[in-house]
Amino acid sequence: MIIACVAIIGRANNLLFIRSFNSQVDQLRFHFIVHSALDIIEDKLQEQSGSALNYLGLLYPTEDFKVYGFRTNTNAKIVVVVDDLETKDTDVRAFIERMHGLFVKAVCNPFYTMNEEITSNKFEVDVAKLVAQSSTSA
Amino acid sequence: KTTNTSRDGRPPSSPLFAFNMANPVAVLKRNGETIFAKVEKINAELLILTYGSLVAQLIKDYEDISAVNQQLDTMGYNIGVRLIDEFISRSGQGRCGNFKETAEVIAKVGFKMFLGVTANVANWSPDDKEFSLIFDENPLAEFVDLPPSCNALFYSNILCGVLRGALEMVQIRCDVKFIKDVVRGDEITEIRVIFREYLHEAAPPSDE
Repeated sequence: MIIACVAIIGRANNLLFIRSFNSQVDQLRFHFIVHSALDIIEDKLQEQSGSALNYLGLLYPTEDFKVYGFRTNTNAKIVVVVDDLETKDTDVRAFIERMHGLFVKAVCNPFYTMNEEITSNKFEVDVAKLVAQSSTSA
Repeated sequence: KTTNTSRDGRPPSSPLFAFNMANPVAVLKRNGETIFAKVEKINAELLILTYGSLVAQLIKDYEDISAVNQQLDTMGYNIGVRLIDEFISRSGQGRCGNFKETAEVIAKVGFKMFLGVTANVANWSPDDKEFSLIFDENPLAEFVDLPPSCNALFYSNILCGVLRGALEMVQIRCDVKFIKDVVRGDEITEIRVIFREYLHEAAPPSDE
C-alpha cells in the first residue's frame, strides 16, 4: 500500500490539512481528487442515514489511485488517496484509525483554534512518520 | 523503629514515619507510590484540557507572554499555599532534616501524589542551596504544540508558583523557575529551586 495523499476536511467542508507524498503528481491534482471525494462522501452519508458507520471505505477509483474516506463523530472527514491498485481494505482502515488518533491529539492542543487549518509541526512530523510506516512497496 | 509522638498529631499506628536523611530516596519513592495509589483520581485528559484552555485564555487576555508567565506563577502560588496542608495531612510527612531531604520529598512524594510523576533531583550547587528538578514527562503538557509566537511562554509555570507557595508555608522562601521545557523544544523539563531564606515570623500569605 503506498499512500499518495492524506487530507482532513472540516465540518463546513473547509480544508484543514492536506499533504501529498507523491512527488511525481501535481499537488493540484490531489486537491481536485480530494475535493471530488467530498461529493461521494455526502452521497454515502445520505445512503446510510439509518445506521451511520464512520469508516466509509472505498469512495471511488481513478485511473491511478483509489480514494478512501472516513467521517469522525464531529463530521470532520479524513480522505486518503492510495497509489497502489492492490491495497487491502484492512490496511487502509488501520491507517485511517491511526490518522484519526493523530487528528484527535492535534485537536487537543490548546493553541489550535477549532475548524482552522492545522499548523502544528508535531502533527506534520507524526503524519509523515505514520505514512512512512504504513507505506510498503509492492 | 521510631515511635510517633503525639506532638506530630499522628496516631501511633500510622504507617508513615519521621524522616531523617538516613532514609534513602527509595523509601520516599515507595511512600510516594503508596500515597498515589490511595488518593482519589480524576481523568487526566480533563485536567490537561482544562489547564490548556486556561493558558490559551490567559494568552488571549494578556497578550504579553511575560505577563502570562507571571500570572501562572501567581496562580500557582495561591494553589501552593493551600496544597501544602493537603500534602502534609495525606502523606503524614514530618519535618525534613535538611534542604536536601526537602528536595527529595518534593520530587518523590509531592509530585507523585498530585501529578502521578516523579522528578529527579540533580545539579546541586556547591553550597547546597540550589537544585534542579528534572522531569521525564510532564502530564500538563501532553498535547501541547507551542506556536512560534508563544516561544517565551513557560507553559507549566503554574508548577513553579505551587512550589514557591507550598515552601513558603513551611517557612522556606525560595525562587522557583523553569530552566528548560520540552514544550519549548529542549530535551528535558527542568525546574530550578533556589533557596533564599528561612522565614521566622509567620506572615499571612497575600492573595494578590
